[in-house]
Amino acid sequence: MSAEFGIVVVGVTFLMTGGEFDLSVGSVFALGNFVFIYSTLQNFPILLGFILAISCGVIIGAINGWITTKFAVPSLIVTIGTLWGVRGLLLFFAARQWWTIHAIQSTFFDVLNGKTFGLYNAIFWLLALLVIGHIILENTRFGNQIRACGGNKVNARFIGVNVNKLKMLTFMLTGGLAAFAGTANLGRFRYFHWYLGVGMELEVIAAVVLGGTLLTGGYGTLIGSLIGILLLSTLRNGMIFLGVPGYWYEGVIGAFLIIAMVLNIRLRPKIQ
Amino acid sequence: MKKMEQVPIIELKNIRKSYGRFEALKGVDFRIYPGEIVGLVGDNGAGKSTLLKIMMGVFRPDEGEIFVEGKKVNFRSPSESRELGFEPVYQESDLISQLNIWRNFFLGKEITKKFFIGKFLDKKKMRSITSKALDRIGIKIRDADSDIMALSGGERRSVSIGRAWHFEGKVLILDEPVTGLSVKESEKVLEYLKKIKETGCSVIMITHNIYHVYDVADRIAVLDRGIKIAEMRREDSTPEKIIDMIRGKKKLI
Repeated sequence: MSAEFGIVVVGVTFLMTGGEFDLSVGSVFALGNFVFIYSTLQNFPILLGFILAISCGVIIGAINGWITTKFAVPSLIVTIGTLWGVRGLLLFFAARQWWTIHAIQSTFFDVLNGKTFGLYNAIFWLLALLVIGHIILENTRFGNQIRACGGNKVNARFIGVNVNKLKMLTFMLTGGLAAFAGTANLGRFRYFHWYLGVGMELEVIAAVVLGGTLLTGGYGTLIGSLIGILLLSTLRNGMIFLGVPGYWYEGVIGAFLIIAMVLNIRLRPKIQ
Repeated sequence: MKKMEQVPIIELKNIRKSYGRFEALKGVDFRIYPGEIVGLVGDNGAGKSTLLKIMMGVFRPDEGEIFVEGKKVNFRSPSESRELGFEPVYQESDLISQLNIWRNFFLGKEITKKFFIGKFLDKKKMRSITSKALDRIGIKIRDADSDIMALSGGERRSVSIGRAWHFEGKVLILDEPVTGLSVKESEKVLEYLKKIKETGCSVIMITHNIYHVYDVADRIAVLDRGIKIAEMRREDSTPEKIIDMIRGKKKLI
């Protein structure tokens, strides 16, 4: 479990608080990684490649948001579509080749995800995002209105909240952060493989739900999501430490997800 | 008494609206003048809610024009209507149960203060204003941070009306403000409306209870199947007359 994963969780916390889902984050994570490595190998300026990668994530988020709000298709379905669509593109363009940039040295990579005090920098990005995200969700108009959209989008619209615009923005934020996590992943491992981020979306939702964000939207906190991230990473590391074979992890995550969902639904009347 | 030369706060001209093949409004003219309470009555399906929702910016008319204080406008969303001073209170509870009282109260019109690089919610101010505004309307809340679900139906409705009142709209638009409330709570709401009127604000309300409208309204308009069949001042009508009008037209068809 990595801090890069946590960065994705931050975006999805906003999205789920606003009452929507994004299953395409794993694919967008890989897309960010790929666009960044591709443009670097094309000898584009590294900063440009970084910006391009994040822009691609934002665009996928905008597509998710546009279809969801414009055509009233549930985001769960829309983002399954982009999950496969983006993964398909990566397979088509990138699966026949081994992508690596171990040979390229750049301070940009070191800043992005080198090591400081023995910790990967992604941890600091994650912490910064958690703090900023918490302030936004709790203390700004944007945060208040996101929660309102998730709580009851009809009432929110009736009282003057621009629901579609806010949803659009949270989808774009989620896509952008997923792509950013992908670039951070590249900064750390310096390679790309088309299989990166497969299955990540469910783990992300597990972390968010374990953190107490309501499945129906309307309530969510980043402190909770941090706890969710820590729980899952402790679980994974604990299992490795105990010598449990790696393939058990997915099954245990599944069990955790079900328990978290049941608790989420059982506890909801008490929260409201 | 309304003087003829007074400019209406809102004037709707020849409003038409259809849902598929069903014509909800077949060319309705409607005006509200400053400081009056207008009652909108009619049977189910008369088009009352549709007309109100057009003023609230929820629906856009298929045809017709809207003038606000003499200027032509086009409401594209509820926020634009609210921006121009039309404060809505919707039929069902229009609060959001996951948000606490002050977050609901200020939703869409949050007070912020500048701090460092951005604008952040001024929670302290919003809490105190919420408490004061609800106090004025007669509900005592211990804490503006309480859950909406902790309030009774009447209190929730009062929060909605208190909110509309606080933001000092030019017009309060109320869709069935007393439906589902106890007799005592309904009386209270009607009392608020009279108080609100004294501040110079206009009110337009829909209700099924003719006696309620008759009690507070200066003017009463009757809709039937998308057409305004009558409009009269309170002095010129009686509740019985209004009921006959709603019923009578139905017998003819």
